[in-house]
Amino acid sequence: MSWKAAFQRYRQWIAPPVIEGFPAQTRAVALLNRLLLMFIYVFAPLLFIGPFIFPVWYAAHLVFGLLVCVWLLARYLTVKGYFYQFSVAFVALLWLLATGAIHVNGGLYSAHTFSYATVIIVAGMLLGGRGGLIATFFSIFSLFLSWYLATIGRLPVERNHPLLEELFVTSSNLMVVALFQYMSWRSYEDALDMEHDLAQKAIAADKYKTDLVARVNHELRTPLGAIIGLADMLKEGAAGEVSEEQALILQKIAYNGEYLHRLVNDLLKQSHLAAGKLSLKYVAFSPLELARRVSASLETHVRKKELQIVTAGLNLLPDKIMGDPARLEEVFANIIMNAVKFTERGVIQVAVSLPDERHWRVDISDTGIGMPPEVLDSIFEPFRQVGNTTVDRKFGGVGLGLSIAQQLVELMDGEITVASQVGKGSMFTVTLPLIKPAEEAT
Amino acid sequence: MKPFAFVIEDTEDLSIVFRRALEVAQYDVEVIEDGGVAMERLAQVAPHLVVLDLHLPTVPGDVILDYIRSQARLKEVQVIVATADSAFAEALMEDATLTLLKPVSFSQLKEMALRLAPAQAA
Repeated sequence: MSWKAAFQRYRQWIAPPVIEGFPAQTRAVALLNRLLLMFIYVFAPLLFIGPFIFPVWYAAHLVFGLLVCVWLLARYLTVKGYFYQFSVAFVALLWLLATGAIHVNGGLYSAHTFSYATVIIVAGMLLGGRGGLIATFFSIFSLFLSWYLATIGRLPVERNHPLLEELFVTSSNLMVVALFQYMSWRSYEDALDMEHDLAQKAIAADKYKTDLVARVNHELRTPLGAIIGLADMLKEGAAGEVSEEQALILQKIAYNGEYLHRLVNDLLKQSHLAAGKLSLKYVAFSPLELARRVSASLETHVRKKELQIVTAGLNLLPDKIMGDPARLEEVFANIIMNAVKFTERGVIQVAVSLPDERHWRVDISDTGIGMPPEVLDSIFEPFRQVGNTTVDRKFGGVGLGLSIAQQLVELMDGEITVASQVGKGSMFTVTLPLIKPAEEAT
Repeated sequence: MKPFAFVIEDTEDLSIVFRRALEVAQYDVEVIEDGGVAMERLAQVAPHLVVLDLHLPTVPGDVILDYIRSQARLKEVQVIVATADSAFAEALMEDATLTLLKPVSFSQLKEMALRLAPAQAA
């Protein structure tokens, strides 16, 4: 490890950095620690040099040494997992220092009797309620003993060791300061550990979810393939003639199989999009051909209703533009499918326009049931439709189509918006960057 | 003479559909359920068409596809990869003649097989 790295590590260890997002109180404690440590850094050299200049500073020298020792011991013991033992030793030492200060400074008449309050509070903090109670008991017992020793003349009542008294008091005060410094450092490290643990758990959970979705997807597709394939095989007459009624039943099996297939696809796509695993393949494609493909994929659904799909403005686009045609097909099929789902009769209009030279726009409007304004805000959220049970039961689906469409459009640096009026219909607008193939641009 | 095809698929219910679709498209069909057996058969015979699943016992489908593409003797073999694993299928798209994502319908496979049939058989 380089000197620089060692120094950085030491600095991090001794002074937790103030970080964004930490609770305000902890930030304040961390700031206070920094100030305290700065004080120690500045005065430490003086404390070491001082005694050679002023002999009286030997006391301060000792105090500083004790402070450092307690601090290092605390770190060693707690890192080793002996926090309880450390706490008992710490409280006992504090109690001894308080008792020492009282005994060299007039027994019960000493102001240092209040130091027992510090002992009790620190014991409560480190060892819990029971520790606090035991410390209280010891402190009362000590006060009683001091009173008894003074009564029988064994405890001097005058202040006869001022230097020793200062030493005891300053030591105990600095020990408490060191303890607070140490505890805040510890809580900071705990918070960091917890954050790290949570991040690890989140990563593991995300991986588990992705693996599960992939596995479930694979396991679902195989039997689904058998259902769709076998039904289709029978319908095609590959296993003998089929009566009209049987053909109708087979058609229903195939329709439900296809529906389940779409659901599985949507769930997998949503999972890929959420994991950021879906990428686009830009190629030059014909918008006219894209429109044909979208129309073909929706044909059976449109035919079931009294609906008409009218397209306009396709001729405004160049013969070829750049994009991912498979994903665009999904976007438009999902939006138009949504319109078909919520429109019983009337017209679905698909209007292409060029708002400026660098964008193309598609407005998809329907004459369906429409949506109230409060629904519009969450229309692109995944599984949104599931919450609305009445609508869900009537129209089916898990509410992923529009969410996938929006995520795909955003992946293409485009935008999707919606406007709607209850009872009159909705209009979805998709705006995408217009990229012409290189040979046209040059 | 009818063109010869292998259906390499370990799910029996699917191999029934695939076999029938190819038969309707005028192929002679052999169904193989194990990757290792498929490798042995490919060492002996060069079919016109192979419908290949990717997750197979013993030898996986991508190894079989690699083998087909590495043998000069098998360079005319048309391979339709039929799998439920979209990521895997995407990775093999260049080597396969066609990639179909399961569920593959009967009519879809029949149509593809007809399209890939040798000129005289079509």
